Amino acid sequence: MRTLREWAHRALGTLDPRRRDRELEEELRLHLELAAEDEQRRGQTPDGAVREAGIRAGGVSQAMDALRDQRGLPSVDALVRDLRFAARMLTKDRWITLAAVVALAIGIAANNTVFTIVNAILLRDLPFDEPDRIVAIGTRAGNVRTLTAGVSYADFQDWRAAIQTFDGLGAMRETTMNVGDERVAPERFIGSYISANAFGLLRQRPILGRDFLADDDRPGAVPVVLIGHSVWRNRYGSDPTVLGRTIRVNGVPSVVIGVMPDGFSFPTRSRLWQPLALLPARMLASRDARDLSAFGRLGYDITSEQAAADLSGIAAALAQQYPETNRDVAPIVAPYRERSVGSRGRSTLPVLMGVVAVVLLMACANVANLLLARAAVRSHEISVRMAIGAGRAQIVRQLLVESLLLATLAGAAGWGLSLAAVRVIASALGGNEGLPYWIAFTVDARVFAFSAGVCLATALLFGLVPALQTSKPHIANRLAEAGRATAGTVRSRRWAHGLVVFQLALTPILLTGGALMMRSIVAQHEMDAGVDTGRIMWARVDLPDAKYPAAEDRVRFYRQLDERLAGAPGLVAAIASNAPFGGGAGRNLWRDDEVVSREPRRPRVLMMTTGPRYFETFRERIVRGSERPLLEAEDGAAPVILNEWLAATVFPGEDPIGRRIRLTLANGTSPGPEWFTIAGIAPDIRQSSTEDGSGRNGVVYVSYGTNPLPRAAIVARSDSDPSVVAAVLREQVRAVDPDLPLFEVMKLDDLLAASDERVGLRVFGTMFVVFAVVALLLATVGLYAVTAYAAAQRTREIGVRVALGARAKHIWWLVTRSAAWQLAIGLSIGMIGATGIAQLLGSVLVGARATDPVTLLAVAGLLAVVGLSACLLPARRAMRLDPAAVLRSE
Amino acid sequence: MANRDQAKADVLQGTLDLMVLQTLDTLGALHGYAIAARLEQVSGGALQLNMGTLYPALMRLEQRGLVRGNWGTTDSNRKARFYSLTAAGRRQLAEERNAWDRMAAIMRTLLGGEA
Repeated sequence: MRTLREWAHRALGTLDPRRRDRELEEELRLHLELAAEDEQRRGQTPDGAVREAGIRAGGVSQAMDALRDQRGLPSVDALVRDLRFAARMLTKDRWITLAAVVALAIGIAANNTVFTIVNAILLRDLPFDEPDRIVAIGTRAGNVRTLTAGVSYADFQDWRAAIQTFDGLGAMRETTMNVGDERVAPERFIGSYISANAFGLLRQRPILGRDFLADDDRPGAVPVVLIGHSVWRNRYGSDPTVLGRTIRVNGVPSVVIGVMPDGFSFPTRSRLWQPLALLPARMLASRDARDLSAFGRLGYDITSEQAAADLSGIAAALAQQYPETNRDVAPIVAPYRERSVGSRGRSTLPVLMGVVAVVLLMACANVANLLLARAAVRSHEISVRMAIGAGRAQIVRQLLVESLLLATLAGAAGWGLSLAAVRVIASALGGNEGLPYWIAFTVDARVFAFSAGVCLATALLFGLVPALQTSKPHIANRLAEAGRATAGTVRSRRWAHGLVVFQLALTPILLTGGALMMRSIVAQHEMDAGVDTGRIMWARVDLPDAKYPAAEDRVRFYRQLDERLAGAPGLVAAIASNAPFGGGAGRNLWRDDEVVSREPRRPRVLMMTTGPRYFETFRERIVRGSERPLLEAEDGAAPVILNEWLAATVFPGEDPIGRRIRLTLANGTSPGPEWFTIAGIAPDIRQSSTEDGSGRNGVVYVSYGTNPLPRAAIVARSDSDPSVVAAVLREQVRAVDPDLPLFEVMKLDDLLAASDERVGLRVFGTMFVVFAVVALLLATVGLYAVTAYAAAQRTREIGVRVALGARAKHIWWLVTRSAAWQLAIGLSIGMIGATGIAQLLGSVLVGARATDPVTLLAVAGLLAVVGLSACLLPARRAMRLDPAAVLRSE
Repeated sequence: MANRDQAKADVLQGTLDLMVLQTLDTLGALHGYAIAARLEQVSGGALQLNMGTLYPALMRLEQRGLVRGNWGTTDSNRKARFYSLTAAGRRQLAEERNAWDRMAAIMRTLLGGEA
């Protein structure tokens, strides 16, 4: 308490120092006068009295110094002094300062960048009220522990009726919605069918109009729609009278009842919302159609485990009641974030975080070495300061202030660098369009605190060892040896070597990771679709259920579109459900001589739905049989085309043409025709995404006549300009249905490059590679600097040795010996770590095995070569020393 | 030399505060020189207080709220700063005197026993 008061006064004492100084001096002068008078009274002469008083009471200036120390905040004063001194030292050694700032800035920028991304994707609270209580609910197939499938409408209703542990369950399906009205041209938005209670569960209210009511979500209710702020602003000019107006959503006239707040796009990028009851009838009816995403708000004091147990109980009851559809359905409750952030993101980001931490550690090691080297030069100055009474604590403080200043400079530079890097990465990841609405790569308090912490930790990391090392109290020794160039004690050299070994051990870990990542990226690019994707345009069209409810309606549309495409000038075009690499519908394949069962190990094939001219568009030819029947659905057996690999695998040594197969879902049922007749063999075109390994995949092609999906794409090959092709395609579609917008119109190569997994691997993989290269540079520079420095310090010794007849070979060995040792030790430790990182990255890699001996050997070789060349220069310099010149210079 | 001064100041640090407080308690408000003169007189000239020791001590006591300094005039009509005890200073004095007495008694017993 008393000390607190003292410090408050001391803080005040820093104000108005001149007036206080005057008063104190007055007090002291009076003291001296009175003392002198006393002396005179004791019989001194006036002059003698003044002298005697001065001896007894001390000098005014010393007393003033002591008083100022007592009055102000000594640490602040000292800190200002230290800072000023540090700034002087840093400007004096400006090349060392520049080198240190650059190294640290790179390390800090890397950390800032990755942390900004990690914060946005993994750490920041979701924009819901009490986000921890909002959980995602899905179902899983088999033993997978992640959300793999959704919930059917029927199951959702039963769950909702029986559940106890939730405040409420919501469900939605995000899809595309075509909006039309009298005023503006039709537009396509991402929109969601969503349960009426959903926004209430999220505690989000419309800014205009009203939320959905339970009555809106009943069959037969008047269709209503909530619009997003951006739709309101851009399409309706922020006109409040839009409320109550009827607009067409996917052809259904719907009343606008409200506008949601700006920036709200739940669940990921929706701009419009309609009640679940407006979902296509087949999704509402079938307990098997698990197309909804569900979420829930946990009840008060309920854990996610309790909720999961509750839900499992309900699901078990449903499984008994509806064994046909629900036997294998297990609900799973997961943090809401997991729905949007894939497992690759969740596993890659922490690894990247570790990588940048390592990069920063290496930068710190380099700077520590730099400071150790400089400390040797500065040891004379420091010895002098200690000799005239500076304590070790003061010296350490002074050196740490220098480090802190250095780290702050580097932090500022790194901050700017990371802002730029984050912008580049964000746009590479798809910017605002490609990511869920709650992911924004912005700087918030947490990012700022992290950066500040990194700077502080950095300063301690690289500054502490040199500071403690330099301030070792061996004053006499130091003073004695400081004049000569042999400064730098054995111990500080040992530290320097240790730091280099540390760097060398970390480098192969990062290099291996980077190399594996690079191989993955290359593998992914080289993973040939098997066709020429250049000059191909791609466009999508969705058939809204309201306008095309029945299969016949959709078949009619596709026939008409196909006829128009066949006649379109200057291009070859076909209808297809997916692009190459774009996956397909998963099916189990059965030969005609097999019995359909629920046996799990079936050849899993991807089903593509295509129209005529598909292979022609890609300049490919059907290997055998014909492509022509692709639009013909014949009763009994529909035509199907197998790719070569599948045909050879399922019918080895047999002629598959004319044979019949069955294609079923995993549960053994077949949604389409029961039998397909093989009409032809197609060339191998890769359909499977790259995530499921390098194996080849089986593809079956069925026709739109057989499988009239509600969505399709058009692929078109043309030598014309993409915009011309796009215009032609738009015209053809409009001719068939003027209400249908064409979207995702782009070059196929661009579509492939932009696919999620490619972008993720490319962006994160590139970052990894960049960091690895930075690490290699840091380690090389570190090894070079230490070797060169050691050689320079031994110039005299080398000169003597040469004068005494040492041969070049001996000098070479003398200089490189310790570098070679450091390399050997560092590499041995590092290679062990490298196999570790390879295991860690296993799940992220594509087409590159984690324990790839070629990569490991290449990394080791590269490091050895680079490391040895780092000591080449110092060694050569040492070998060419002229002993006479060296000895003279001493 | 600097070190010896430092050592002396350290020894004084604990006792000087007590001595100043006691002096002010006995004699009432005093200026700095009067305090120094009184302590020198009481110690028979053994305790010669340097200004660099005395005034920082006074400032410290003032910062802690144990003494209060006010400008006034001396007998010879000169401006001086007079220090007096605050209530908190009086309490502190009582506490420290007790502690000192206890300590002194212990020391006396101890040293007497050894002699």
